[in-house]
This record gives sequence, structure tokens and C-alpha cells, in this order.
Amino acid sequence: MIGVRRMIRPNRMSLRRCLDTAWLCAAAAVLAALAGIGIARADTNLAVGTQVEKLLQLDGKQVALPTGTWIVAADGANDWNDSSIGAFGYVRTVILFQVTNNQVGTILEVNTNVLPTTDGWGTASDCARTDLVLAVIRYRAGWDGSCYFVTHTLLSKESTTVWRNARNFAAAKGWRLSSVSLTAGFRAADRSDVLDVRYHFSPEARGIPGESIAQWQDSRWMSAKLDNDPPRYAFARAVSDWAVAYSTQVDAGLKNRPADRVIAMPQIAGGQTPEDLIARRLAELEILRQSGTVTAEEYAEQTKALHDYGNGSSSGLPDIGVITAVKAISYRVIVSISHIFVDYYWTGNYVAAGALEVLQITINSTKFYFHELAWAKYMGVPRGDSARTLDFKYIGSDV
Amino acid sequence: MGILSALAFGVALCLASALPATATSVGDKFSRAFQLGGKQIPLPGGEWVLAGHGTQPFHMAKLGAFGAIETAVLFMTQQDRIVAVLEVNSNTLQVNDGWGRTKACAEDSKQFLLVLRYKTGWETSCLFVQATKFDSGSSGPAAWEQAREFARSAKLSMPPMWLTAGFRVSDRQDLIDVRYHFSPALTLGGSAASFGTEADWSVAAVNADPLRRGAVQTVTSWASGFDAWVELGLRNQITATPGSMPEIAAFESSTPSIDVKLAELDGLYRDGQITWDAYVAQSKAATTQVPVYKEQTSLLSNSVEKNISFRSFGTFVDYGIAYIVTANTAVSWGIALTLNATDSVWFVLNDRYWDRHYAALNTHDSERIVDFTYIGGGLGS
Repeated sequence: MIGVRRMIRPNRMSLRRCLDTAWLCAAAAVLAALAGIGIARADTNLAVGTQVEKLLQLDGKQVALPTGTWIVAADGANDWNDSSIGAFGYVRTVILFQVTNNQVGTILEVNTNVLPTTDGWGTASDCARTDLVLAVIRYRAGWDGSCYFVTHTLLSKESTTVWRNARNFAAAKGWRLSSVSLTAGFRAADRSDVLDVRYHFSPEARGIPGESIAQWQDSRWMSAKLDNDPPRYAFARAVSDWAVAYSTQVDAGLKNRPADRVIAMPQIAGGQTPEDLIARRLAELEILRQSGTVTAEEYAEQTKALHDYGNGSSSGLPDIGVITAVKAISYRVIVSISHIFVDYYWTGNYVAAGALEVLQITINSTKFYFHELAWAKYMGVPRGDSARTLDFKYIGSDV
Repeated sequence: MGILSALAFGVALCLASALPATATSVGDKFSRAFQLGGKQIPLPGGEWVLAGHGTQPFHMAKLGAFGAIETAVLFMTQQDRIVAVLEVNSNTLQVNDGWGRTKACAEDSKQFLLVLRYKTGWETSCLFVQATKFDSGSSGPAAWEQAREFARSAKLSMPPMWLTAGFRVSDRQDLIDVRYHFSPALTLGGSAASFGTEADWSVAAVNADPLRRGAVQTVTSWASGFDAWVELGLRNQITATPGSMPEIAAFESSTPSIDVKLAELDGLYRDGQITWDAYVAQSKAATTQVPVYKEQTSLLSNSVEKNISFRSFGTFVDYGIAYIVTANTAVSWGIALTLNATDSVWFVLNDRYWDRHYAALNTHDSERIVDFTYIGGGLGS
């Protein structure tokens, strides 16, 4: 129930401030009408030390946890803020540890919004990088996106308040933290919500020597160096294969759907084949066919569609540079023909008209290209998609 | 192919044990939300009873593997009368490339309200309010046939005309198409019996009668706030009772979703989770924020704007080039101004063509019409 006091002002809101912002007071008054209404989204923070298994529920979203016990190391507000996103409350960061023999073997870092927005979030810059072990954009449009990546992270920096709290918790417990981890990161976002999940795997916990480096580029986990380092290559490969399969769980978690299976941690020994997502969808169809939910014809039609078109999405954004170049070339072809007549009409001289034509083609094409590029960057690709890049503050540094 | 099929069979065995069993059956009672196709369907007010549940024939190969379209019909009753019918369609499997629009969300003379909240290449959200004619003798999808039988066996009566609030919400993977049919008697009481024909509920007839107009306004007011619940259901985020029935909701709030967000921000501030500045800024944003709606953005205006900026300095460049060659001011201005006129036309046409071409590549689903079979053969069938 929302009490009478709330009708007047929030606890921490001074009367003077209330008077200064009449609209806010009016809004507060509206709250009195909310006694019976409530879309409870903001959850209570998890207590440090709480043990979690299988599923982590956060503000209307879920994170499917790989097997084992996870311990909450920190839960709080991310230092990140961007008022252009609208009323999202705050971005909540939760850090979980999985500990073996006093070594933090895996760190799970989750960032998510507390309240839903109306106009989408954005993609993670890491997903678009070309210098990582793996970076895949599953789809990305104006208001939604899904991507994942694998890279290494320097964990020694206390980059956020929540991470500092988690490090203090580990220190108090006497647990060792790696200074460099291998990270599998996932970002799923739609118009309302964002879920950013990063697993930081400790190399030391998997029998791979740790590193003590100052610069991200100095690591032996750099993709260019992995070919000559079989143990690291094997683990990076295992994490990459694991990430491919796990990415669908993050998408499901964004819509508060539980994992449909037990999720194992990445395994080097024995390996694991990258999950065949088409096979999974075929299996789901098979179950529907057996239960009579879909007819044999529908089953045949949809399995054919799966085989023909796969499980992908057609949502890759056109490249602005390509669009601009295409426009510039087609425009130049058209106007050059037109210019021949205009130039000759005014000069009455073939040579002068030819010289004008050459100059116009060279100078104006350049002018057109850069003008168009500037507008394209200002407006985005056709349809006004913003496809903005949006990053929160994360544990450590990966640049 | 053989390996894939074998793999699929193996996964199917695992999935069969992992998937939740559908334990619902006709006669089961629900409140708050009803689970269909892995989504939550919000149930306003009190208790609803499942009257029909099944799939309906729907073929659209270009959608990919969506499994089947599940249909459910739920009743809300008062004594032996059905006062509300909930009709919902949803996909069983997630697709990857979006769904599409419904004809019901295109402007129609029968609608009392049409709100297109957003429509992009892969997602859509719209709502409409209109009168629908159906009764226990009307045909419909298999779930409705089951529901009619349920009503007959339970000796439940239903009125011939309904005020329907329909919602279509879809994203890249899922779709909810839900229609809440309310008996006019909920707001008009016994006098609703006087208005039992379609003509009684035409837009003109409703506008001419304060009584019926009031009934329609009650439903439109409810619908314009209830869409937030349907969107939450698509994301399985319904954790509370989704408000009241229209005749009661009208007295609570006309902007429930905004009110709730303000309350949540208030709670976050009280708990010290957000600063005063963030609280003020976000509370202000919450009262004004609406989804960006872009219906194939008019590209002409963009092209014209770009042309103006291009010409603003391009004309001088053209003059400069012409002067270098002709060394004649008048001729140079003649060339520059002529090019200014002719090239502007080419510029806009070229720009529009390519923008539409690339926009079409990126928004192909937004124009796709996806409709199912509805009770009484309403709009979209």
C-alpha cells in the first residue's frame, strides 16, 4: 500500500524541491491511486554470500547458471548512467563467484536494467570488434540486438564500485582471484530490457598458468598468439563453442524464459561440439508433431524452412559506407549525362563542356560522398535505426 | 541430413523431459495470467475459466519454424452469464525474423480506437477497440467450438454484441494476439439488451448516444492502459494482477503504466538506489516517454533536407568549376543555377530510391499481414 505520506512527498524530497517541481508533486499524488496496481519489477538486492544454483532471477529477467554453486559476491548499482535512455531506474550489477579450492574459478558479471524502457538499448562495442577471439552479432536492428564475444579481461583494476565490493568479499574469504581471465560475454536487448552477461573464466583454475601484465595487448590470450599456444588455444576454443550454445539461453533469459536444459561449464578435455541450433529446433518440432499439435504437412513445411533458411536472422544492418558509395555512383552516372547537355548549352564548346564534365565528376563525386556520409552518420541507416552502441561499466579492462 | 535427424531425435528425447507439461484443461480456473505458448496472457479482474484450447490451421512458410498457432478462449462469468470472453492466439515455437501486422490494426471505419504504438521491421504493438458480433451460434476456430460447447453444457448465456479491445504485440521471436470481448452489460446494465445489433454499435450510433458512448469510452480508456500488461506478458514479466475490468479500471487510473513506473522510481529513490537528480530526470521522462513510432519514415523530407544542404555549398562549387573553365561570370552562374535545378531533382529521386531500397531490406516484415481465425469472423479473418 502506498501511504498518505507518499501523496505529499517522498521521504528524501524536501518541501522546497517539491514546490519547485510541481509536476513531480502531481505525479506523487497520482501514486495514491496505485494502491491496487503494481507491476513489481525492481527486485530486492541479493545478500552477499547467498548461494545460488541453476537460475538467477533479476528484475523480470533470468540468467541460466551453469552447473555448480554460485556465491553472490556483490549486488548494487552500476556507476553507469545515460539519461537519454529514459526512465530505466538504474543498471544493476550482480557478481557471482564459483569457488574451488580457495580459487575463484569463474566470475559471473551480470548487468541489467531495473525498469523497462520504451525505446530500446543498444549493442555492446565488444561484439563489433575484430581483434577478439570471437565476436558474433546474431542480429542488430534499431530496437533489439543479440551478440556475444570471447576475449580476455584484465581483472586487477577496480573499475566499478560493485567490482571493488566483490574483490573485498573475496579477500575477506581468502579466495584468490586471477588477474587475467578468459571472458565470454553476451548481450541481449529488446525495446524494453537489456541483459549483459559476462563469464570470466580463471585460467589458473583450469591448469593454465596465469599472467601478470599491464596492457591488454600484452596477454598471451590475444587471438594472434593463440595458434602457437596449444593449452590456451584449446581452452579458448572450448569457451567459444560453449558461448555459441549459451547465447540462446541469454536471449531466453531476457524474456524470462527458463533454460530448457542443464548447462555445463566449458570443457577442454573430451571437448564439446558446438550445439546445433537447427537440430534443437527440429527436435522441438518433432515433439509438436508427435503430440499432434502440428500436422505432418506443417511439420514437413517447417522442417524444410529450417533446412533451407537455417536459424538465422536477416537483420544485419546495411553498411553506411556501402550505401553512400552506391548512391554516389548512381547519382554521378545520372547527372553526368544531364551535365553534358547543360554544359554544352551554356558554353557552346565541346572542349569546354568536356573539361567541365571532368572537373564536375571528380570534384562533385568527392563532395557528394562525404556529404552523404556525414548525413548517414547523423541520421543512421535508412529507417532511422539508431543501432547505438551502449556499454556499461564492467569488471576490469578488455582494451 | 541423416546425422542432423539423428541429432534432432536425440535432442528431442532430452527436450521431451525438459519441457513443461501442458497441464491445462477446459474448466480450469485462472487469475492474474494464463500461460500460452511460453508467454503470459494478462487476466484483468478476477477469475477466468478456460473454455477452449487448441491449435488452428495457419500456414505461412516464410515465417520459418513457428510450430503451431495455439488458440485459447477463456470466459469470465457472473452467475450464469458470460460477461467477458478472452480470445488469444500465440506461437508455440520462437521464430527468428519477426511476425507482422494484423489487418485489425489498420484504420477501419468500425473502430472506436486505434493506437499503433510502434511498428518496425521485426516488432509491432497496436491496439484497437471495436464492436464485435458473436454469440453461442457463431463459428470460429476449434478452441471457440470447444468454448461454445462448454458454455452450452454449463448453461451459460452470452450477449449478441461485444465491445472488443484487441492487442497485437510481437517481437522478433514471439507473438501475442489477444482480444478481450466485454459484454456491454458490464457498464450499461440491463439497458444493454436494447442494443443487440451491429447497427446499434456503429460509430455514428455510438456518438449519438451518451449512454453507449460512455460504455465505449470505458473500454477505450481501459485498453489504452492495458497494452503495457500485454507487452509484459510477451516477456513473461507479469507478477501482479493486471488491473481491474474496464468498468472498475476507469475509476482507478487512466495511465496505469506511467503511474506504476512513477511508483517504482519513487521506491528506488527511497531505497537510495538512484540519486535525486536521476529520480527527477527519470520521473519526468516516465510521464512523457512513448515508443518511437516510425511507419516507414517519410524519406522525401530527409532527401529534401539533404539536397538543400548539398546545394547550399554545391552551387558555389559548380560556379567555381564553371568559372575556371569559362572565365565568364554570367555563363558560370548560368551553369551553376541550371545544375542546381536539374541536379536537385536527380538528387532527391536517387536518394529516395536507395533509401527505400535499403529500408525495405531492413523492414521486410513490417508490411506482412499475419491474421488468424477469430471468433465471429471479426476483422482480420
